[in-house]
Amino acid sequence: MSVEINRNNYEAYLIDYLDGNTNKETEMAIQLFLIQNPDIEETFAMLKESKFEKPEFENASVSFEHLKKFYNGKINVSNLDEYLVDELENNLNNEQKNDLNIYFEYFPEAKKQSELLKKTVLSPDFAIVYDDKKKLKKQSKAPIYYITRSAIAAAAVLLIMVLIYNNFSEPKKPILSNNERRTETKVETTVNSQSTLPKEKPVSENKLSVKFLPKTEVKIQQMPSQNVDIDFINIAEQKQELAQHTTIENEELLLMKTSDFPAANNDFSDMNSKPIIENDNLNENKKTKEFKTIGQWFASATKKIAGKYKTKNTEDDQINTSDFAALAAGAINEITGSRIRITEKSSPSNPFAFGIESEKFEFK
Amino acid sequence: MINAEKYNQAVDLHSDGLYRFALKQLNDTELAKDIVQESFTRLWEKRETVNADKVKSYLFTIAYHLIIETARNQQKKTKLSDAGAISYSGAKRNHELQKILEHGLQKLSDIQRTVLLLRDYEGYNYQEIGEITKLNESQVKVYIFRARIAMREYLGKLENVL
Repeated sequence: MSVEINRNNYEAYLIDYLDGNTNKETEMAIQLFLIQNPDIEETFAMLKESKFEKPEFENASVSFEHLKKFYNGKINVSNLDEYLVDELENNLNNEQKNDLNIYFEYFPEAKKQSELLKKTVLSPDFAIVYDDKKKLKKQSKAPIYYITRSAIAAAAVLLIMVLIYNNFSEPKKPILSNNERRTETKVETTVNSQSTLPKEKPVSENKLSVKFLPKTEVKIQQMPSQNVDIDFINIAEQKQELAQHTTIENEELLLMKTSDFPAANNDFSDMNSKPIIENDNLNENKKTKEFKTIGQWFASATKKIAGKYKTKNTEDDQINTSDFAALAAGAINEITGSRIRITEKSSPSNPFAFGIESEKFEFK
Repeated sequence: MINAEKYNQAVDLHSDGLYRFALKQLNDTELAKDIVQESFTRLWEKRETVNADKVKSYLFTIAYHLIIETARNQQKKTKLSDAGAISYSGAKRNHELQKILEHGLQKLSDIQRTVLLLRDYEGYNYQEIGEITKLNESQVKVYIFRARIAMREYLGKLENVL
């Protein structure tokens, strides 16, 4: 037996024994020692009695869980990312923001995810720039240029009007009754321009003459009386001056839509070509002309006006050309209520091409 | 309708952003320049009908569709599987973060990348992005959500490496 208990060390063994910290071998040695030393056995009995037993309540389960705080908001693991992205996207309302902040207090890991997400926002690198801006830009026009353009537009309008009037002034002479002849006379007196009016006819209201001053803006408007008025405002004098007043009554000019309008490729020699008249009708109340084409003279005239301002074969010139044509057509439309349109038909081989389309337009 | 002056202003204001947008999508400077050039050409051609207040949106819409077409035809995009190779060891957090994010950007799907660029680079709202990409607002929101989460996960993996 390796355990040696004697009167000098027995206390430690007894205490271990009472505490249950002894093995079988030691217990046997202790019991043997107590038999051999009855006085100590008495002391041991007393020690045994004085040992405090574990109180009953110590075995009872006492919970303090109710003291803990738990998150009871709307955020959970499955919708956390939505909240985080919405936070980043600034899509959360105040209530949701508060909820998320509370969630962060309970789950600090979520806060880290939020911070990480914020790092994913991209920032443009402003050092990267498009360095060919000049090539993209279009040449701006100076104000004086617009004035010139206005004058040109007016010229185009007037040129076309004169051409139209020229055709009006050379109507076929149908065989008419006496009554119709009176009507014809009336028409002739009301539809004339300066260039075509027979000298013996009264011209007071119908004369058309135009002066272009160096700085002249043209204002064209259709009057409520359905007369066509062309006003010229002298900018220099800041004074509106009615230059001429042209009246066309009981007239209707129809330009039928055609599909054969030539584009600007036409030779300028077509400038003087007249429209091909398909029908030229005259009755008591109105006179109607139908043109098979208006393309050649119109397109050429417009292009010639624009063409004068071509300086070089650049994209800008192409724009100017079509702008001019569009401006002229717009002015005509404003006067006549017509729907002439200028369409770009440019191509690398022909940068100045544009087309002219027209639906019928009419004077009333 | 826009005139030459407004058009030129648009060049000054939007060509850089448009270029960056195209460049991030295509990873090719020449193709990106072509996209810008073509977008402005189309704007000029349609200047009669384009609302002056919608010029930027018009440009990005045109660019977006051109990019899709170009990427499809040229197949110049960085493949997603190739985009992961990045040396992070020497990267300084703040300075290199955008570079890392750009790599992450390449891992996104085309549409996710597009909506995220429009959102972060140009500050468009969901509706505007929807107009450009022909998506409804909900779709835009979903794509942005997925893109953000994907970017976070990409960034998270790199942070764990550190």
